[in-house]
Amino acid sequence: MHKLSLTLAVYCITTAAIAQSFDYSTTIRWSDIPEKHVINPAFVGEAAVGILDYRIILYKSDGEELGMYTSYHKVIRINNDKGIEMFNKVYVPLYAGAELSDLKARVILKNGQVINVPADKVKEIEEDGRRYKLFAMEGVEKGAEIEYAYTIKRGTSYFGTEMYQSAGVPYQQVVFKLIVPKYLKFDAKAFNGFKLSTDSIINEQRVIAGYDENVVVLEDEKYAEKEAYLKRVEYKLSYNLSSTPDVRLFTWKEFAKRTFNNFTTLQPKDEKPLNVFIAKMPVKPAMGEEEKIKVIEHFIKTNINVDKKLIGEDAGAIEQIMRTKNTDDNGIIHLYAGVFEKLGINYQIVFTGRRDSYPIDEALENWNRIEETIFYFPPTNKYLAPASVELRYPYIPAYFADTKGLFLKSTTIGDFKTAIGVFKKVEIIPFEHHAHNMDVTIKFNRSMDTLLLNSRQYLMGYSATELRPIYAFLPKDKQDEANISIVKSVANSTDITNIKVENVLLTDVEDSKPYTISADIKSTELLENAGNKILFKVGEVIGPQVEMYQEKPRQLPIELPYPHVLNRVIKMEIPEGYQVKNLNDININIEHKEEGLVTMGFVSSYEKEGNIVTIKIFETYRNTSYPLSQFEIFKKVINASADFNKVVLVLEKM
Amino acid sequence: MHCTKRKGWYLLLAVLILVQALYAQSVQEVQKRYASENAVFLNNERETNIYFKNEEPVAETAEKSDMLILSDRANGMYNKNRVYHGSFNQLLSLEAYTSVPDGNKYRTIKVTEFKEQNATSNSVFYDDTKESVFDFPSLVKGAIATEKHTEFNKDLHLLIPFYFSSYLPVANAKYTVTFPAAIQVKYIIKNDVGNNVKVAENRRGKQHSIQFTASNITSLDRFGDAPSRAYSEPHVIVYIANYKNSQGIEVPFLANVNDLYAWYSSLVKNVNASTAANIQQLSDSLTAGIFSEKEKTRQIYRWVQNNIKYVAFEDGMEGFVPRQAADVCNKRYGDCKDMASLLTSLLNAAGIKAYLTWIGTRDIPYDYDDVPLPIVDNHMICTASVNNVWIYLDGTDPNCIFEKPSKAIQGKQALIGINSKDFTIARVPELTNDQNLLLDSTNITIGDKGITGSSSVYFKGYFGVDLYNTLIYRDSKDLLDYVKGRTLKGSNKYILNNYEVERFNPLEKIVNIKTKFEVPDYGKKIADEIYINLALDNYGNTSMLDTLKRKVAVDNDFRFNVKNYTTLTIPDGYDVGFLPANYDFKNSLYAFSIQYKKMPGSIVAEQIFTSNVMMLEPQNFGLYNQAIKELNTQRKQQLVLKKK
Repeated sequence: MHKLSLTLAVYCITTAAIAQSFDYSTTIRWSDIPEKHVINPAFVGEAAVGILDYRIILYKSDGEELGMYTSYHKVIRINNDKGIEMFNKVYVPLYAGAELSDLKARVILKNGQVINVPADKVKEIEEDGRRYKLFAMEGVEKGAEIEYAYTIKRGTSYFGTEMYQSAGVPYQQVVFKLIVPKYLKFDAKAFNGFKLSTDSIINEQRVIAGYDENVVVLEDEKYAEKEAYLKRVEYKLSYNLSSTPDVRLFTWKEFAKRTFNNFTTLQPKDEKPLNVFIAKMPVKPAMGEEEKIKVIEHFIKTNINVDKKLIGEDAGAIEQIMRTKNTDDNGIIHLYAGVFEKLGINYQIVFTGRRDSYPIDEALENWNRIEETIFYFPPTNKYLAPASVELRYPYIPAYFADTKGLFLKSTTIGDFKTAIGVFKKVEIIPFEHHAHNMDVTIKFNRSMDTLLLNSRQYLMGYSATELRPIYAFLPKDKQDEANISIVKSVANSTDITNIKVENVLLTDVEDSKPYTISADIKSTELLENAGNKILFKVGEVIGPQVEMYQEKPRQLPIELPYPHVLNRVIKMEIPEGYQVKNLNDININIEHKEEGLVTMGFVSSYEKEGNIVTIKIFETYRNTSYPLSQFEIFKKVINASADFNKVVLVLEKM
Repeated sequence: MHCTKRKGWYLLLAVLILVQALYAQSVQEVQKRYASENAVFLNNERETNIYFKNEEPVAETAEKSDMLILSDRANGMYNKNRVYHGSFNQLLSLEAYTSVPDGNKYRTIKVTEFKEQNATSNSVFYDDTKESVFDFPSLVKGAIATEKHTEFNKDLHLLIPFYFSSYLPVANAKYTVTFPAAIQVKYIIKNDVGNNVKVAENRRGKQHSIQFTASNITSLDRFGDAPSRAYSEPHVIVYIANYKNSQGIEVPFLANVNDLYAWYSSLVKNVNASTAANIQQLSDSLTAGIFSEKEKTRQIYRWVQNNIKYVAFEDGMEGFVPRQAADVCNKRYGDCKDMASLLTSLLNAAGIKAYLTWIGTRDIPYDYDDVPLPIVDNHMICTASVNNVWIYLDGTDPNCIFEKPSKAIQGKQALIGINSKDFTIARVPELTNDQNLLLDSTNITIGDKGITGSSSVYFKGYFGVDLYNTLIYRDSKDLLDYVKGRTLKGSNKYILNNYEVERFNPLEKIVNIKTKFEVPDYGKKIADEIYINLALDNYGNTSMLDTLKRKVAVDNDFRFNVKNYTTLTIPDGYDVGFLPANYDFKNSLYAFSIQYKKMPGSIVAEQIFTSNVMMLEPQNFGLYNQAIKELNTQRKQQLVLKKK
């Protein structure tokens, strides 16, 4: 994290001379004669450089209503062909019911000639429920500047986010303005170094201003999730001083209450179909609570289609769900909550963050940040992901766990059932439960040109959840193909017989039921010859490994989907009359310990008994994330497994 | 990069919203036959009814499909459906419902909500194709999901072929075309390998009809490197040859390529009717001082390649009619037709014979000779005639080599429009394997920690074109990763210490990449011996094709040669202990050789691989597998160096 801001700091220092302070003006400045711009020398190698990204969020009275207007003004210098392709087509996203106004777009050529985009060339499309205006910039050439501005009148929302670091090119100047009538008080928060003022009253309006300079592109890195580190501003309405100056609006508490109510209230017409549905479930009164949860989940997931993009206005109404067996991601919460309530299951609704996306910020009550909903069961301290048809309790998408969530704890006030919202960590199932293990025995054939292997891979936890959907959703012939490709990773050969798979059901989640695939393999692929010596690429038995041999300076901390272990045992029989001279190449030991515990490591070693060599390989990643300061050791662990992958044993005649 | 002319219309060809009534085969029969599937189409039906409107033939088409659900895991997999429509096939009605088993009967649940939106694609910036999307309810085991729609086909030049197969097996497929006796309708059946398609024609009375039926059609498995399904899936192409108008006079329609050209010609008659001033001026400035026609052509082509970016707008006829050259020139963008228009106009302004040219890319299997219809092409280029030689100028490929065709149109028929009446058809050449060469010279030394070395790689022909096109999108930031991937040697422990990318010959698009690298742990030193494999390069996919499973061809973009010369300096104090045997392999499509030469102080391994096939048909998979097997075996031989 700190290294990241260091890079930015360097840019800031170089431009300190032109650094601006907060500017509270409330309009976009579009001059008829385009201004000339100077490009920061640090950006000359970029495909294009954003000169200005100026945004105004304006709330103002439209008669009785409070109108919301967002205005954008962008200027981009085009440096090369890639830059032309990136910016000669413009998409303006419109929210449902939004209207576009004041669109101005022009290209300023190197020689100063201005080419305006005619208004009649602006087209509109709708895709997945989102509307876009689109147009193409005319006459664009290298060295030209593209400039456009527009205002969108949209349905009023009291929450918002403006992202400033996702455009793929650096921006020299980025500006944020939130302008509201002075009787409204918003909270705003800037992330990752974006600068933001407190609010000031200017001419009956309350203004929050923000800016940044020389915003660089955050590059993708292996084992990193960059969204959380992008510069952005989030805002929300907190007070209406004209009516209820003492009441904080749109709090998490209120969110908890409202959503709990929405998700748990049944309409009278829902009762009967829901009871009929529950009656079909194989839930027995004698079952323990955990078993009931599992039965309910499996029943719903095999009978109801959940689709975030379901076409249908009433996708969330229980009566409709029961009729169509279709619902969307909200409707499914409603259904589970209804079933849990009826069957007396002790549950909590949880709005969880995502480690691979923008986190929910407890301090800024931006309700729009709520994206994913799961269930928590206090008696078992475990979770269920209602919209993940491929997962079963207690597994939820790994990125939903090991992050903070808003838990709705239900409480009863008199006859009235409501919920209070509490932020706490959604715990992830510990590392030792997520394993990709293998046992392999290897012999040579008589003519010493083929290996005869028996391999057994067994996977548990999240490692197994990646494979079980194959057997749940694909037809038999595709399952067979998948089996072959899984076994093929062991010896790079498709000469495979006796494939046997076990514990392939989605419900086989216990550690005692590992997904297992075993097979006999004949392989010539792992052998090479050097005269009369035989070179056995034993390292390839663990399959191709990710490497980090040549990395650019690291910017972001390390993030893994889930913690896990990989334990492998390879038993090889040295053929009679042969010896292996370089068994010591097998020994690799890279470990990192904290407070006596190995948090990550790769250890391989061997034992030789008679002509049997047993190789043991333990690879451990105890955490989902590691700080930037541990990047070097992380890299060593990753490369240790990639190094093992290259171990070649030399067999020679005695 | 090629453009897809009128993508919207083609999308309709590609999409499998096909379409019927109970039931040629009973539900029970189908359930039994397809027991291991999650769902099948019981019926896929289309009925096109051609009639006259204002003296022109038009049609209404009704499509219907019944999907039978065979397992309890289909709910969630097959609910979402899309019906595509646009200005050439206006949607008139659409209904959908699921028939859910209820005792011995079915209970119907209607779909009540359809969402109409734009059907977008990556290659076209804006077009007017729409999709109506909906979700089938209640796809429980035994349910039948029915979708029916009707559309108006306003221009019958653009009838869409009927595919008998779909993304699920099809138990019964039926396509019926009815038409007045005054219309002569013809058809072409493609890829009906097992003679499954039955044809019933009724050419009596006032109303004629042709019916095509097939049963139990399963589409072949798809592969990423396979050609489009038009190459392998059974389909029927129906078209109108001609018709008699109300006066009894025969009106030509699409009987042959003459008719097709007459129609095309009518669409472009207003394009560049006269040479605009800005075009003349630009043409003059580009060709000033040049006397050779070829050189003028080269300059004009280069200018368009460098300055016009690909942006496609397809609204109605915009998918068929090129824009005025003057307009394209000002905007600096256009689609393939627009670029062809600009090229033609600029060349004509320079006194060079150049023509708008219709052509299909290699995605399309048809020739104009067999199929005289608009479905043969999806692209437009400009063809110039210089010294009586055709030069194909594809404006959409910014790095196409002058005088060579763009990659995607090799071997295709070009319909060259000479004037409003005359045209000619020419076959675009295919590049030979010698013309596409990757030549790698590498020098390495081996030490205690692995190998270090340098290499120089030349990319010629389409190798060079592809690299030039890739380099457009590579910044200094991501060039290292790209070059690393492109020049990887030994193992993924390959460290690229230094590199230089040179656009060596901009005319012939030859690129040279020089590298300095090391590969720690490559080669093995044990006791007084060193083992090293001099086949340092990974040829990419070296796994064999599954001749039992794969029934569709492998489509390679071009033929090629790859030559590697790897020179290993023999370390001081060592001598060659073992040199692998030389090897030569050749069959009718592939050749591979590896030769080891001992030089003073070094060893040179020369490897040559030749691929002399573009479309590798399933019957030739054995030749490929044979070559790969040999290649894999020979590339496993290690050299042994021994301490003196």
